[in-house]
Amino acid sequence: MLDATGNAPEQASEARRESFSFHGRRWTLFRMLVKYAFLNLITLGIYRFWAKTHLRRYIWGSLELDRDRFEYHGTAKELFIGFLIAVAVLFGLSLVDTGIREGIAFGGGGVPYLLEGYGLIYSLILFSLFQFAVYRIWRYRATRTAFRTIRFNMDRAALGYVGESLKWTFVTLLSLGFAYPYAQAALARYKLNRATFGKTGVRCDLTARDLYKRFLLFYVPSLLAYVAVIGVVGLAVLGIPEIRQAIEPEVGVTLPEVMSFDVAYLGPLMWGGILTAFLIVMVLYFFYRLYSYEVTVSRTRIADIPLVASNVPKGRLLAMAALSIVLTALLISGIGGGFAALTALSTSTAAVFSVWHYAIIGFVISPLFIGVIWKTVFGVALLQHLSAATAVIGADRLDAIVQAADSGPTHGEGFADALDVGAF
Amino acid sequence: MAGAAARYQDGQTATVHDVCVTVTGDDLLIVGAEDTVLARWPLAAVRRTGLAQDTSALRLGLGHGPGARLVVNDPATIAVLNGRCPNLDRKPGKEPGWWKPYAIWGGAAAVSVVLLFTVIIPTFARQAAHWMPVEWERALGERVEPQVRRLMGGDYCGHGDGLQVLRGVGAQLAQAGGYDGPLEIRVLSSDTANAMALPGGRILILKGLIDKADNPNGLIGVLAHEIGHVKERHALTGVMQSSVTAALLSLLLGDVTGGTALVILGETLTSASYSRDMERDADQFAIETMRENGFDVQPLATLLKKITGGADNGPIPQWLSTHPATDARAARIDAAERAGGAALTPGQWKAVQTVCG
Repeated sequence: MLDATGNAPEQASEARRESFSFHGRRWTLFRMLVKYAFLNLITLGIYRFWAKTHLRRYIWGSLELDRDRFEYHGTAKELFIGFLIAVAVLFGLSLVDTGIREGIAFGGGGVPYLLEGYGLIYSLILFSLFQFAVYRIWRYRATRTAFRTIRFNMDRAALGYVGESLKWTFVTLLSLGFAYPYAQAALARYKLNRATFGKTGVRCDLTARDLYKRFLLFYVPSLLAYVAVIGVVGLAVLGIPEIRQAIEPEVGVTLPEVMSFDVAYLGPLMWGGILTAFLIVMVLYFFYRLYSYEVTVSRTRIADIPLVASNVPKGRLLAMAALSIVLTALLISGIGGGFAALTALSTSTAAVFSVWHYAIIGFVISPLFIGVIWKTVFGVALLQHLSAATAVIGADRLDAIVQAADSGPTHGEGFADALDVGAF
Repeated sequence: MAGAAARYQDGQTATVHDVCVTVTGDDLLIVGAEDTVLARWPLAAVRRTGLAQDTSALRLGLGHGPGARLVVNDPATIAVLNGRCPNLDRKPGKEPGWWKPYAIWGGAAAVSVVLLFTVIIPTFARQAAHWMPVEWERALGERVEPQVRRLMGGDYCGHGDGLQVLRGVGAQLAQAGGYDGPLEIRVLSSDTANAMALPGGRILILKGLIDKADNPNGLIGVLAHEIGHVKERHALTGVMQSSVTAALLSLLLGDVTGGTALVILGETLTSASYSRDMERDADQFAIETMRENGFDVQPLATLLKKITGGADNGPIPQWLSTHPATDARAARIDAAERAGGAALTPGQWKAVQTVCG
């Protein structure tokens, strides 16, 4: 709209664009993660609630917008109580499940497919619980997050989210995956449209159309890779005689000869093929996820304050992910080599521990450090670059946001913890 | 200190007010536009709410938890406030009795878990196994048996009278042990030296075991041991214990890194421990029923040692093994009264040895 003199209003050019920034340091995070990994191990995991709380305080407190930082107000006690509640419910559920399964296995002989039918129902129940936990995890964290003293919140709509997830999963499966962007957009809108910052609502207008082209760029090659792998595996298993004869004319048709041929030629080919296909799919998906982030954020606003995300350095992030994997592989090789050396020693010198002890220790310890490497190398890079790429347009309008009364749930994330949802 | 510039957020809106802060007496005075006093914070109650690592600003609040925030960016002011606020980094005070809920709930949880693993799960599994209708157990056994056969290899043997002899003695032992349920003894022509009790009263003896036994009482001792398992329905109990234990462990350990490994480890340990208890019970059953029938039980110890090659449990540590250490088992058997004669006549023994043709 033009004013009396025919000029565009000043507001549009004045809208201040402020980017987020992440100030967490790798070294600080690394020390925290290592310390918590050991404490977790010693306490058989009970410490994890305190570890998560400390980590979140650090990460939230390192995220900055317009000279102010975010704050995390959650406590370990809330997480612990949430966990106890979830364990009680889930243990009861698994007892009931065990009872039903044993009953069907032994006594329900008459009804065909009863066990399979029950298995399907049980999977649906678990899936629903998982989605319930996903929504609750978002809600808990939102209500424990504050910016400029104003807290976020989300509506109590976890059950609705379960319904939406079930519906969209069903549709996605029926469409052989091609309806996925619709599912993605619907679920993102569901969560974001029920979020609030103080008394102000968050609004997301993401549609499947925003995502579809990029989705096809990811999905079609992935499908082709998948089909190719099936083809190769099928060949290896069926062992077409003509192909065998072509590669090695002397090979016979007895079972041992066929099997040795398969192992010698098709084995490496098959595994190489599977690995390559897997890598291709992962890389394509990685790019798609980052693109999805850009688009979702750019379609989101807080009242009249739009958010925007663009130019996420996807290549650089991919490199960081690859670096994490390489470092992890080196670590595992190091540990494996260490064991080999120790085992050689233990047979020649009467060692206290048997090789079993070493194997168990390694099996338990290496996952600790795999997680630490991934978060320190890739996690920090992701936070840094996603923050820098995300901005708020019209930051001054944030002043108008007013605190709301509802302080959210009293405990958190029990089901998410028990069902292994989420990383941080 | 003269008024220093800072930024203040009052906890009601997201507006950032430009304020002037001064230290007067024991308080921090926050003065806004037109000299209105926005807040007065006792210095002793001021806490750092930002990260200690954040050197760009000092972020302060009154007490802990959500509420108003004061942000100071000027280094000189930061230095002054660092000096004047005595409790900047003090952790939130713990109200008296803060530890009580943790102690009570944590203690209760720990006690419940211990009780569950040592008493409730084994009892539940045992009771459930006993309540389970025999037909259901038999159905399970019938499903399991083909898999076992495929694993062990070999066919059923029934040459001559060997099978009848074993079944006859088996019935004697069962009667001595007070078991009158289904009992079906079969021999498999596999060369492994082993015997097993399947749910539903089915006992499989592998030919390898018959070959290894120098004394018929050794073989009969193993048979008695397996009948012990059948009577107590150990096979079924074991299955139930494993599934419940595994479920509980994965719940408790959650997503702790290395959790899956710990669950497998924990499950193996508890299963092995339950299994060792059951093996001990079966050994005891064997000792008692052999004695009741006047059979010398000592050759069982010899046979056990022979099967394990005297190497105890091999590379598997005792606490991971499903059977008590062979030496310990042999010692218990030896300690039992030594009286007793042969369980089979030479003719019967010959028949058993040739049951696989």
